Amino acid sequence: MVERTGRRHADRFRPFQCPLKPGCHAVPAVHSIEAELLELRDAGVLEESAAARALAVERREIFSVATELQVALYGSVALVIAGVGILVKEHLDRIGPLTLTLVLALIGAACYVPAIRRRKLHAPRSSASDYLLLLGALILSADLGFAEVQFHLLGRDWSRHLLILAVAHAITAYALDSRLVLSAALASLAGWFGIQRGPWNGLDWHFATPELGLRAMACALGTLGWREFDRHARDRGFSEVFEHFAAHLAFWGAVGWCWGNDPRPTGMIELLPLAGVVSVLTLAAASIGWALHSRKEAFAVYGVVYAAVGSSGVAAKLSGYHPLSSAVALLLIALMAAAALRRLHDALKSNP
Amino acid sequence: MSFRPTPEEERWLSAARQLGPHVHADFVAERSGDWRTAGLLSRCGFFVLGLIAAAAIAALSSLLITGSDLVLGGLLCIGAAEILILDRRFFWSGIEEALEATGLALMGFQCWERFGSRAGAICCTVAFALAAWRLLNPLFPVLAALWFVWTFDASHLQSGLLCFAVALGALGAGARQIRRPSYDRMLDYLVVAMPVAGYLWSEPSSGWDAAGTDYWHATLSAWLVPICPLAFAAIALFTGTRRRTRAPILAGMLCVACGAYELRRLSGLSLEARLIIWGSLLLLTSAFLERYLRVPRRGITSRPIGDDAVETNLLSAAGAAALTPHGSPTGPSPSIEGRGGGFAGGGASGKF
Repeated sequence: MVERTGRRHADRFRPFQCPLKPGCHAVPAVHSIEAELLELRDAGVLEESAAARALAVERREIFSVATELQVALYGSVALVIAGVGILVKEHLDRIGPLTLTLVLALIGAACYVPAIRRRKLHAPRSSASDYLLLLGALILSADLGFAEVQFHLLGRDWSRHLLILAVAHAITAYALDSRLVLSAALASLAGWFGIQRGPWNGLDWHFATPELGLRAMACALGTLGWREFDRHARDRGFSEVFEHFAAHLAFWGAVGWCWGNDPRPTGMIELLPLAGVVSVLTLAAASIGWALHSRKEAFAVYGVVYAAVGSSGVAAKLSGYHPLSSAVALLLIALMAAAALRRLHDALKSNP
Repeated sequence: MSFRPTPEEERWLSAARQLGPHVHADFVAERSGDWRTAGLLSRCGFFVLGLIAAAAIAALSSLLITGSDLVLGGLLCIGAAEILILDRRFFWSGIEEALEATGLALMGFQCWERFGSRAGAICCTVAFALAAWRLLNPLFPVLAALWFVWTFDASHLQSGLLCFAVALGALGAGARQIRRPSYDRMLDYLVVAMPVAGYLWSEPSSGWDAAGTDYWHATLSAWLVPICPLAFAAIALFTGTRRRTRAPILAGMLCVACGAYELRRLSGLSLEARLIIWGSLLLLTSAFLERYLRVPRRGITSRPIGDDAVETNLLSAAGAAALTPHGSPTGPSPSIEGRGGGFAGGGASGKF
């Protein structure tokens, strides 16, 4: 099954010396598209710097393990925070609430130190200190939630601790320029709005309630407002995080409405799915418009796929879940969506 | 009319995908046979739409033609996919992959229904192998390999060992210079997926709530369950570092995680202690490696090469948001925001 490279082709692969460490061993021959890169460079259609970088990667002269380390760092943060969660739950009686709160606060604060030190030195932060900072933020989140449960600091307004966390994480994100902590701030904000379920529960019937959809849209609107403030006040390159977060939240809300059951049906048409399909199509138009404006293909994909999923729910509902009508509607929606996505993809690809 | 991209065309498609906006699209289009591909996000979107369309086609065929089975629906899906490939020159676009694979899977499933599980498993193996050969998609050889292992109807341990053997074979085959990039990617997927499948197969009782094997009092054959992934991890990490290829390193990391999970009872520590200790050790090791490799060692570096991919940034932001506690503590009665949920985040659903 494997097609071996012919001798003629193999001859085009120059033997190389590792420039980074003289005398280092050549890397065993593996799959490479070096020949194509050389042709591109020689034809002048590939910038010299990009060609040099791509060739170095193809020849394995340089090999980055940045992604693998990030995965390991993320895994380590997930393990530690899960352990802390269980520790808080299981050993409260033995340790005591005040001691536990203080110890967690100290550990959380200690995690901030490397990032603050790098900031003071005006040095670029490593991935490790970025993830350590995230761990600190997560420990402080757990700590504040635990303190709220134990000491009832906010009384009936207990949910405000999520808003406090959102503000605290936002200040940290801006002060230390961290996208990861900004994501934590946005998740806390969503929690304060009452959105607790992940996307995998989007089709859960309990998710598709008028209130939750409205909260998701309100949170998306708040996130977009924050993005505008961020852009005008102090652009830190966080816009993309805000945009994707807002897009998903708004679409989950609208798609939830499309698939949900109106608790108070009025006549033949249920209002909730109707509001859902109008919202999802409006959001899709806005998302696609933004994709074409900003040349960000992801928003075109969101617009088309979410619109198709939402419309499918409403079409199935309108047909009374009749198998034949539902299947025809599904097929038509899928074909129209695929054609629209193809056109958008081509348009975004052809006009750089 | 070409049946699928030639190796040369496929190499150019790979080069274009790798270089992204750095390369002139027209130059590559002339050499890649005008095949129309899609980026990762669009491909996922098309795949979802293709699945919806395939489901609708299958439902329609069985509803409209009385007495017909899934074979007709499968044939129609394959026909639609072939039209897209041969006429519209779609390749690696997602929609034709979803249609063709679903069509073949439907036919395999029909064989299962008619001829029993063993013949059905053979049919599914053949179906996914055909899909892999036709679409050059690396996901399908993995599915074919898993069905292939299933056909032997062997014991859990034997099936697990067979998976490891397939992974070792793929790891060995990856040393050869392969002309088609897709074949190389297929081997990569097998190297990553098969050892994990092998571990899961050999230890069917593994689950988060499973007590785990007491290895202090276990037989030699029971030790094979953790030894196999750990041994494979050692081989894969050595091979990946030597060849400077990503898949064996990722496979090695996953196998270490499998081995560590399997040996969880060995230390005698509580779950939270294990999570915190091993998570902290992983964090420290990753931080050390990142620091050590900041200056490239034999060409290996912890610094990212080139611009960060949009997908990577989004994944890390989404991952951080997923870890953030955003549920409500179950203390005082909720006022308006949020309800239910668990406290402490990080996967912990502790309730106080």
